[in-house]
Amino acid sequence: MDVLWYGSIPSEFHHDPLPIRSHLSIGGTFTPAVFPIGDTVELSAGLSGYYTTRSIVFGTTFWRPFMAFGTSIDMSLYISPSFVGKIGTALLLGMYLPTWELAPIWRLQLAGEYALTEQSQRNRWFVRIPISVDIRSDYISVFAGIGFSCRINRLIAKEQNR
Amino acid sequence: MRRYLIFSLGILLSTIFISCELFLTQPPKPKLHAMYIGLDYHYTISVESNDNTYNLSNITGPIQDIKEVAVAIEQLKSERYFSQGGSSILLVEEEDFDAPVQLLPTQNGIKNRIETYYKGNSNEITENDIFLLYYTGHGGSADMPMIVASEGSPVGEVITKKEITDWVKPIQGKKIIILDSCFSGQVVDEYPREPDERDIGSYVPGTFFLSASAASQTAKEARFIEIDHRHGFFSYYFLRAIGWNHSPEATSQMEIGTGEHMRDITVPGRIDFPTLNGGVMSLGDIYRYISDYFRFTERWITYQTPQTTLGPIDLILFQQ
Repeated sequence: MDVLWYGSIPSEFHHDPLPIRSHLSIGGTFTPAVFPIGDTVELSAGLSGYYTTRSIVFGTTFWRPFMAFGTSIDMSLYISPSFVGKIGTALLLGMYLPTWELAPIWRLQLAGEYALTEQSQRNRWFVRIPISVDIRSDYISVFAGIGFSCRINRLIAKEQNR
Repeated sequence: MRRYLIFSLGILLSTIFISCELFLTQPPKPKLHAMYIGLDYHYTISVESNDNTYNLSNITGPIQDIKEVAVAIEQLKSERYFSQGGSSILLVEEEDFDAPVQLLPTQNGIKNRIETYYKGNSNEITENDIFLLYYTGHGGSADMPMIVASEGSPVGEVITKKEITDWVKPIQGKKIIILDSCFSGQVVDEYPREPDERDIGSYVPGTFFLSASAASQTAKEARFIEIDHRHGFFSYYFLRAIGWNHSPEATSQMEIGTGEHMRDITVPGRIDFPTLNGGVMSLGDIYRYISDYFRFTERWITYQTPQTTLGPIDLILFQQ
């Protein structure tokens, strides 16, 4: 679960008086399964959902609030037992709330996660700092924030023939 | 590790601190310059287009629409958000119109009035201000979203989409064009989401549209039993969206415009603002309010669907 400062960068054709419009965004990713690749790398896929508020009012305009849902893929690199670097991408479908207008979003994300609990514990908590870019066909957004993630360890036993 | 965390927090704080809105001085309060146009087609009985003559039916809703919309919006011009001094004008053609100077909404009259907003008052109108045009009357399907009166003739005149957008384009500031007429969705430009759509150049930044219907739909009016008078459905829900009280116990009297333009109107006053969201009433929220009532109360899924300017930018009509 992340809480993010979300900055929309207007394109030239918008003729916006500001170089960036500031929103607040909240949301997260549910990752049902993680696939280890070696000892220090993991691949995971999940479902993401975010709500972004309208931007701070400036003059007579603001940028509309929207929701975004979609799928994401992340690669995690265990740099140390307590620190994980993540790189990921997501394809989201955004919807501006007042108009219900749909717009596809391509998200690129970097995140650093620091473990708050020991590796041996069943549920492991991390504090994370994600930094991301949302690419739309009409403008780009950058955002950063702070979040928490919880990893619930459930090993699925493999069936073996006797 | 600690260094990395400090570095990450540094990036986070840096990005937050580039929030321009927090550090730039807010622009001064906007002035609202408004032009309200309504016709009942009592005297204008036909319109010519492409060598064809079309008869126009008499509709009484627009007069009530435009008078109440004018008073409601003028009352919203509160000093808390708007700077006082924005000009307003009400152009009507109505049965038994007995004002000393009849201000007909003719094609040239509207064009000239709009021109005075950016020529005569060029020092007064800034890019922070808002120009609002609210039209209620007949519209035609073939590039004639506004059918207005003509001087001394029962044959009306047509204002095309291009004429409206060309006329308002030179006005500094934000423009809102609201049409309660048949086929009015034809004025709403496509938002140029893809780069190649921007080359067409029909999208005018800073111009916001709100229409009663889609380009292929008619706009309906009816007598509303609960208020005992006629309205266009769109204007009726627009008035509700901006908090208009139709109760006969509460009345307002206002003068729209000055001098020759002055009109005294007595109509019920406002009570609350259903579309006020976080202290702000935006065009997008008004659109959502009207659309929801059409869809869920009137059960019009495809019968009459209001349209508005799409894209990420929304315009504030009123702020507490």
